[in-house]
Amino acid sequence: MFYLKLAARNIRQSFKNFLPFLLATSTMFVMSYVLAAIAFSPELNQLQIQPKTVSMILMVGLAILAPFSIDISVYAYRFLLKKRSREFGLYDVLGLGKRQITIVALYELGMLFLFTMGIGLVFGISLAKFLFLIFVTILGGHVFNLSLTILSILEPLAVTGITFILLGIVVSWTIRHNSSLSLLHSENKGEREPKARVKLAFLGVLLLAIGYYMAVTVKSGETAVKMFAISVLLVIAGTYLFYMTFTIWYLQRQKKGRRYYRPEKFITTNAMLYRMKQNAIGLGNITILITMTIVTLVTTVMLQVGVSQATLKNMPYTTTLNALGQHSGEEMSSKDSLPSEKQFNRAVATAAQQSNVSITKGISYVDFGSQSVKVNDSSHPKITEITQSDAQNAQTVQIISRQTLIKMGNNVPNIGKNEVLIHNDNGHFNPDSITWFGHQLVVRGQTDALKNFPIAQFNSGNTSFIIVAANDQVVQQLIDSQNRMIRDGDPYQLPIRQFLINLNQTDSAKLVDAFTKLTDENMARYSVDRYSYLKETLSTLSGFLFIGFTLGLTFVLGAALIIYYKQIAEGEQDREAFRILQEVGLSKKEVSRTINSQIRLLFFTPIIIAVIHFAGSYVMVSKILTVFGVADSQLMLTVSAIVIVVIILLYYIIYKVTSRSYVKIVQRQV
Amino acid sequence: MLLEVNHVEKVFKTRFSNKTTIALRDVDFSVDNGEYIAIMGESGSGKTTLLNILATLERSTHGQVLLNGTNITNIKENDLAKFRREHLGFVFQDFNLLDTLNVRDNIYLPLVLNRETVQAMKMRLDMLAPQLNISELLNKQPFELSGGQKQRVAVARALMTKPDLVLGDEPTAALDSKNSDRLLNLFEKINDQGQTILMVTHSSVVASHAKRVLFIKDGMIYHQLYRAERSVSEFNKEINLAMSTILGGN
Repeated sequence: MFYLKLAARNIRQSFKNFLPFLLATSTMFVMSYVLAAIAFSPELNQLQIQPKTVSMILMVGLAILAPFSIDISVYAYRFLLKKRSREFGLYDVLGLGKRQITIVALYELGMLFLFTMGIGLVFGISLAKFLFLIFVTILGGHVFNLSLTILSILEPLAVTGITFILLGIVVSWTIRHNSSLSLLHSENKGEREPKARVKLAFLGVLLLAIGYYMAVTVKSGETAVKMFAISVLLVIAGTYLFYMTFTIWYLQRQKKGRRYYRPEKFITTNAMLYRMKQNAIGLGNITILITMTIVTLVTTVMLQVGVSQATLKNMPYTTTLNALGQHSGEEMSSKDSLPSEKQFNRAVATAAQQSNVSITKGISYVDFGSQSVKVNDSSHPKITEITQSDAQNAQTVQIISRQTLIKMGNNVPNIGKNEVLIHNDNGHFNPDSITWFGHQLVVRGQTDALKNFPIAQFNSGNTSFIIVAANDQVVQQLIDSQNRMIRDGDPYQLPIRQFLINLNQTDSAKLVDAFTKLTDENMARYSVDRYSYLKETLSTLSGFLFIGFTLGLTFVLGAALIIYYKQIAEGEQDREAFRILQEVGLSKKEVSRTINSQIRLLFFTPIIIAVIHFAGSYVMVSKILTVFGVADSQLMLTVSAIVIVVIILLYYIIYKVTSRSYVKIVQRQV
Repeated sequence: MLLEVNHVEKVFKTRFSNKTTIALRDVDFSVDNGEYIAIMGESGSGKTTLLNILATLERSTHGQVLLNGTNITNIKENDLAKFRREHLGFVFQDFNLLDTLNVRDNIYLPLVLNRETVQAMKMRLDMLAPQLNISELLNKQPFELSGGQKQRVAVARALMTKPDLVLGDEPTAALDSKNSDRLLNLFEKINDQGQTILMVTHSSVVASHAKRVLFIKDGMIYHQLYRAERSVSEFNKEINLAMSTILGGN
């Protein structure tokens, strides 16, 4: 009981020393809790797009967070211990045995654990609810609700529990393996200059190089998704190794350099070298957290913005009505599946009449769909094989007639029966001629940008092009020859009749409603109202946005925490150096300039490397986005730039705020 | 005259009240080239304040300090550091070595700040290292050294710039008696080679190694003793006697 009281008294009396530690452990708990609350929430399945991917991303986030949270707690605890070992030493000198001191320390840890849980749960639950509230208010998402599950508390509880058990081991070990005298003096314990481990240094650089290479050379979106985790792991390992070994190796090379004995370099190089060993992990953590924040935010913002843009591109008209013929029997040709023009127009007209919407500005045409085929790299490619969209040399090809394009208001030059134009949506296909399943076609050139044409949304994100043929009859022939080559399992390409028109929101809804309700007509009807489609898609996606911002916030919080710790730890060290340098003959101004430049350098290294990491992942991230149908490289650049600027700003604010605590410590005695 | 301290006065004001504390009342003395002086006093006597003023780490409220004819109380804030590293050497009780530098670089530090060439630094160190018995320590880190070794390294750093005046602030306070003796002998040896030394101490044993002892109490120099041809122990006795009669007489 005495020890318990002593422990409680210790915490009360030097609460100032315990506070940063509690801040660290509770923040880590809150972060884990918020992520777990989403990852294990049963509502996750209501996200219509890829719920598995989302929960996988969150699991990866949790998996990264767990060791990281243990790491930072141990770091914070050792920092606390360093300050307190004098007290422990004193107990020892005063005759409290090591065993008893350990018991007191363990009691302290037990209480700190309870504090952490209390603070963590209160803030965790409120933060999760708060974030969710903001999310609902801003985005009007109604799909995603957060319910409190046992699992979402158990996960952070387990991580925190393991952390505190580890801390117990750390403190027992420290007390046992230090004599009372060294405990008394351990605050001023120096460190040996780190050894450069050249092999490990280059292994780090090699890992980074491989990770980058994988990310940059990735071909399709699907492989990108599969390889993402591997390259991320490589880059994470490489980053830690880089900080732990390469920077030390580099700085030690600097020491051998000719310019080493210049005042600026002399002090900075040595101070950085001294710090690098202590802080390599911290710098690595910050770098990785910032990189993850950038990637997460870019991805989610791209999804949100990109999907609506892609929707506008795929649906240039507000209202789409289309129809396939009803067919019976096994054998079918593409012609059979198409309802007659008269039949289709009559149905559209009826719907217009019933809904009282004017359709004079509408366009009616045949959409022949798209197909993935094998295209060799040649100026006279011979196309004979239908293939899967993610196969090698696969290109997605859509064939349309010149008439259709002209109906939509495009300017298309006149072409003959065996002549075609090529439109590249995403790629650089520009041959002299094509053999299309037996048809010799001369390529007359490339078309300009197409307007008002609904370009099919290709999920695979591989390259695609459009063949423009003279008229619908020619297109029909080309499609027929192609369909003759279909083998079992290949997708069959069905043409559909399309009616497109721009209407206001109410008219669009009315027309779509009437068209859907038509009876008979002997055809399968489909219709899309862009207004409601967008609304629905975006509300689903806002779930992603919420998760993205929560993850981003979590990572930024983690980075801020490490930075704060670095600042106060470095402040303690620099205070002494600050004084000594002044006595030896460096002016106050020079000293603060030197120290500032050191800190700036150490501070901005992580963000520079994080931006480089992101640049490395750029290709891979954009490929992954194509899986979600977002493939706008211009948009990607803009979003990335904005996200990076915002992160740098945020980082700078964290730097300014935390460096104030640094300056306070440094100037305490000067 | 190397150093002239003319009627120096130092008054401290507490920041939030008008209460003032007089640390130095009227300190007046001078030091010749090649002297070895100990300023003796108890804690609170003002000896550290005096040393800090001589070291240009603090400014006096009134009075002048001339070093080689330069009034160091007038030097501009920005030039102080340069002045310090060109004219003064420091040996402090807690050694003040930078943890981040190894021993050699700690010793080089003032010369590096002076932008001297590596050859010049090496030449100077090659001369000093055997004398101070630190040749084997040069590649170690400060934390690997004992207190006595650290202080010898600090002495080497102080002497590197060939300062006009070496200032010592209780240089033996953190050393055991054996190392303390070694250091004091070393100071005598350096002084024999012509280096002027001024240190402050509260210990009569330490002071008895100097050639002249100034006694300070309540911010004023009360008395001084010359060692002349006396041995250290004889001088020590006399210092103790002076202490009890002049300073401790209450």
